[in-house]
Amino acid sequence: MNKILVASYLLAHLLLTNIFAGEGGSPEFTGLKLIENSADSLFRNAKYYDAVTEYKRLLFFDPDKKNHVKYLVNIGDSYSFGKFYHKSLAYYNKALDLQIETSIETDISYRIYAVLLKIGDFTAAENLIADLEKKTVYGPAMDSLYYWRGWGNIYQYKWFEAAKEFNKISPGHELSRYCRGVNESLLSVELVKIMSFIIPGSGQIYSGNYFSGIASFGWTALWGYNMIDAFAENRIFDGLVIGDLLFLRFYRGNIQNAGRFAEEKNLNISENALLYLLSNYEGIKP
Amino acid sequence: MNPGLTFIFTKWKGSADLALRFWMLLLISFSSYYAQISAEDYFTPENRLRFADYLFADKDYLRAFYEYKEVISSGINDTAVFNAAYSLYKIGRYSEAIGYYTGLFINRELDYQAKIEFFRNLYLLNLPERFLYYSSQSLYSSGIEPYLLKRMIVYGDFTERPSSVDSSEFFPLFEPPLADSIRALYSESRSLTYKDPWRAAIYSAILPGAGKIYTGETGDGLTSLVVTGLLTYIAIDNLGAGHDFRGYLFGALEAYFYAGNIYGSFNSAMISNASVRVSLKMKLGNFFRNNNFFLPLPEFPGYE
Repeated sequence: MNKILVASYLLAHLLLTNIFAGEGGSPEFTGLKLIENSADSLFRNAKYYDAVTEYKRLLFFDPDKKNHVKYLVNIGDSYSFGKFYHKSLAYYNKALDLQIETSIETDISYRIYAVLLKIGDFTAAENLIADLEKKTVYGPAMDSLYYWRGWGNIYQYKWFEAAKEFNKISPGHELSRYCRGVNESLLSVELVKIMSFIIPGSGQIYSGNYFSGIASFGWTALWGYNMIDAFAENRIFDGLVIGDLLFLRFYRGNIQNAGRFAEEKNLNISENALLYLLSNYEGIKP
Repeated sequence: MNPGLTFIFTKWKGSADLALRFWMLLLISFSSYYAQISAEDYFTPENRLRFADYLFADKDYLRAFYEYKEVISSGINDTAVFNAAYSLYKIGRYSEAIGYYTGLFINRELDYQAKIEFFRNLYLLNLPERFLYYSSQSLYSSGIEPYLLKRMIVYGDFTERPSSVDSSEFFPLFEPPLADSIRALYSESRSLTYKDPWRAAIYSAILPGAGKIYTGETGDGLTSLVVTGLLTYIAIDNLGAGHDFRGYLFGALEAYFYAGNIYGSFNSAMISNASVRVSLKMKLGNFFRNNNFFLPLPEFPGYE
């Protein structure tokens, strides 16, 4: 009887050992996996500070370097969401320093590109995408390239160029239509200046600055009248002084002012259009 | 062998039920095995300390501080306390850092450096009276070379009021190469030229724009001279030609420019003086900060 029990015990022990050995080898039962799950959960719930702490803990304790790319990228993303862009770039670059597949390298490069757009380093962004372009030869990857270059143009408020890039992906691409619409709503700075050149103040009124337009017209008319009056009465010096110091100053100022107002209005339109896209566009965005 | 198993195999004999013994064996065996396969605890004080050191070396001082804090909460570790305080110093939380450093004053190995850091953080709190008070208390300053604290106090005065410092007391506190820089800064503070606002105003009253030229704003000065001169001429010309309204209009404009030019010259001298003072203060402050307030840094790797 004892022998049977001992044999049963050994058998059960063996079975359980094998079952749990399988489970024990599985990452769900290791401390690192628990930390990773916790970090992922924090990341998904936008608790980026704590997520970064846990991913850094994993970077320190996890000896398996192949997991490090994910940790580094998620730290980079967390910093980016928290607007710590330079730290974000540092972690993306650390991820790139590891030996990784080309597709992952490209994905990280686009993340870096997006951060560069956010910090306004358009030259570095353009250089990066030019490097990617050299390596990219096939269709879907080219679409990604056009897509991100389009976003680069959006961030630089080059709406026409942005529309062209999105159009390369597919004619009538929704972002292309949007960018074209924004471009059409922009004022022509040259036209506004010419209007104020012909009728002082008209450019300002056209760009929506009615008070400034009327004031410009009034000042230019007043000093123009005084200048002509002085010349008419043969007070040549008076006429020259009023003409040069007052009339021309207001006339030139009126043209410059009109151009500046148009530029400000365009900037306002572009800023609002970008904000609208960032808040409402549901596709991938920087 | 597991002590539970030893007991069951060797001691527990006789009346016990065999089936019960079987299940006990199974339970102990399973629990001991499960203990072996269960996760390594990465949150033990030792692991937290290793992780905190990693964060500290990575200059992630805020996270390092919180990890050190966890280590400290599970038992006092003086190195962790020191590093926690140093992390707080690096992120600008000086008053909290001071609290941690004070706790190390009884530690033989860290006492000196903790006191040095205590005074560095205390200085950064910008409370000169408290600094003077604590530097006179032996509990806080014993062991620190007296000249270290004295030169902080004197240099602090020099930064605030450069003219109030006595060079015979000031210079001996520093040794080369620091002494050479201090002498150069001192000479610079003495050679700065300040503009007299009243003199600038009087110059501009006599000749429009002259006050601005005196304060170094030559372009503004010449513009003031030309504009005031032209307006005066136009006003006189119009009055001479019988255009009284225009004459008075340009005369009023001229008076406005003339008065504004005098006031502007006075202000220009004031702004010039303030700019000289502020840039000197910034230069002295940056020198102090870049030299770690003339206090030695911890002599362990990773501190900067």
